[in-house]
Amino acid sequence: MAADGHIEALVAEGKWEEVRDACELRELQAPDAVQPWAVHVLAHLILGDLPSARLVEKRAPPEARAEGTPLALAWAAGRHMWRREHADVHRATAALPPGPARDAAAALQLAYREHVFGLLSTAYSNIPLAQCARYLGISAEECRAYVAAKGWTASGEGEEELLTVHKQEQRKQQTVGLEQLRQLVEYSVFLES
Amino acid sequence: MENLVASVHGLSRGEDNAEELQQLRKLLNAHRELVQASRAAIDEVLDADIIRPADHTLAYAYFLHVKAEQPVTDVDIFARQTEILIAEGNKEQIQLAGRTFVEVCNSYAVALRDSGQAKRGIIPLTRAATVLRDGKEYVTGVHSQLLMLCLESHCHRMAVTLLSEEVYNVNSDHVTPEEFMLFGYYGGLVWLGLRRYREAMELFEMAICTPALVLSKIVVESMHKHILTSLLVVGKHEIPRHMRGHTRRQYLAHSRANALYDEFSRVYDTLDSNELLAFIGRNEEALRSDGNYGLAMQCVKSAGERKILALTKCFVTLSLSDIAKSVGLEKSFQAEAIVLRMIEEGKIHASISKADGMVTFLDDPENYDSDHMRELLDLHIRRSMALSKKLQDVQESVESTRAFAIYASRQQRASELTSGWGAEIEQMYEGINAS
Repeated sequence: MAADGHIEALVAEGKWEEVRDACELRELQAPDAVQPWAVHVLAHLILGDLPSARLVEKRAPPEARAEGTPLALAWAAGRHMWRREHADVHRATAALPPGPARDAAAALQLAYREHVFGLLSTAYSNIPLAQCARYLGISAEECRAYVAAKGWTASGEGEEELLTVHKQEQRKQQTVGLEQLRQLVEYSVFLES
Repeated sequence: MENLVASVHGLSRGEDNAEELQQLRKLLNAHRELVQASRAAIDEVLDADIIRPADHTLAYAYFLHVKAEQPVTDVDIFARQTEILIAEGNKEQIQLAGRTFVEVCNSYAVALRDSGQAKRGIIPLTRAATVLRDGKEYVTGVHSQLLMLCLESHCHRMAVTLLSEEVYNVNSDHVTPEEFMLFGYYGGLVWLGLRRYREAMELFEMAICTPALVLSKIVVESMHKHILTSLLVVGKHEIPRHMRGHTRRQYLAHSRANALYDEFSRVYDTLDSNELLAFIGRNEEALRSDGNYGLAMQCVKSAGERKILALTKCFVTLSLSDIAKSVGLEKSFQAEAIVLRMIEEGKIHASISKADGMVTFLDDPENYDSDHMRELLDLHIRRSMALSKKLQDVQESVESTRAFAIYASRQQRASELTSGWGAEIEQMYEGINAS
């Protein structure tokens, strides 16, 4: 499915909210035109909105959803995300032809990998290397290097190799100033009135 | 018909012509039979720009209304004419047309739905709802039709902007109770499609609590969905306390005869996923025909999660195999997947150690001392302040009405009368005691 120039430009710039909005507007204003279904679904997936991605797939015409089409491949990734089959998400879009959909799929892989890594950092104190590599969609070697760069350590060998998670301290932004004082005064005035 | 068209031209002229427009409305109502008799000429009048939607919006709406009284045969022509009315119509005249305009939009929505073009109506009806209402907090008769088209075309996200606006007011001139209840019901279905269960529950509650004398199918269906979404959000169900007394009694009588959802709620209380699955299996046909099978299956997942949530209250550490056993799962990796999902969704805070297969449950690390949390709190406080101001305004507007003044004076007289009797009875007893 061909996306128009404007949507392609937004995909190239990685502005996924604008990609999503542009795809929706095109769908409503020109429902008979060729729609960038795969890009639309992938934009929703990158933004973490699985229900909306599912609804896009549901309302696409049958010929766009047929097996092997870009939309079918894009939604396959969504289906795996829905079922939390982290390992399969990265493989699902490998067969997409070059173009905006493939660029969006590459962005999804990066975004999803970061998301899963964040989840593993929060949820695990230690995790087998093989499981971590599977979840991140990369080989064991790549995984070892990826997590080492984030401060994780490895122990053991072969199938027993275990990664110890290094929890990164979340830096909180805390500002104190006139703005907070003004808010407190507003609350006090409201409560007194 | 020519005289009527000439009157339309004459009375629609110029700005600040509110009186003339009122006169035009009366004239159009009075000549309704004439327009009905000349139905075949309506298309010619509208399409030849004899009546222009930008200048003669009121008349245009009335002519379309007469046309829509008969089943719409040529959907494309009617749809195009309605879209032009909505896009070019004058706001003041649209609001004056009121119910007439709403019924034209309703016919338009139904025609599009029946001809498989639901998506086409979303942008026009969004504009129609925006133009018709007196402010963002108003529900119009068009809202429910717009939501219906969004549901029909699976374009749920297009309704989010409208549904996110808080609704306090209804213009009773052009919203029927049915349309108001359908706004709540369809709105709830939209949120369900987007997996926003709390918002869905609130809208179903709005439909259920609509003042009514008899129980309607809309309320019954809303209640079934309210039961299931309450189980997902809160873990239990209670009939909304603002549901009117006689409607509540009628619903309770109805649910005694059709106890499927109350029974489901009771089975959910056991938090036994296997029992829930067995119940759903026995009642699959009924749940599917009600469109609630998917929600019921979500409740099975939710029951398992609530069991794990209960474990976090009793244990600091627990093995994955023990978690699997308590939830009724066979393998510990299944428990690991559920715990991971709950951590991802922010339902629990825990750390899994794969070395020894143990899960350590942690406290919520949020200390509410960041800028982000302060902004969130500020947002909620301001919403509460705005709501309080709204309530105060409503109270003042009610207190200034004649009906309230009569009611208040009756109450005062009744209390004076009662206190007068009380004083006399006290004196009587004092007299008896003294003697």
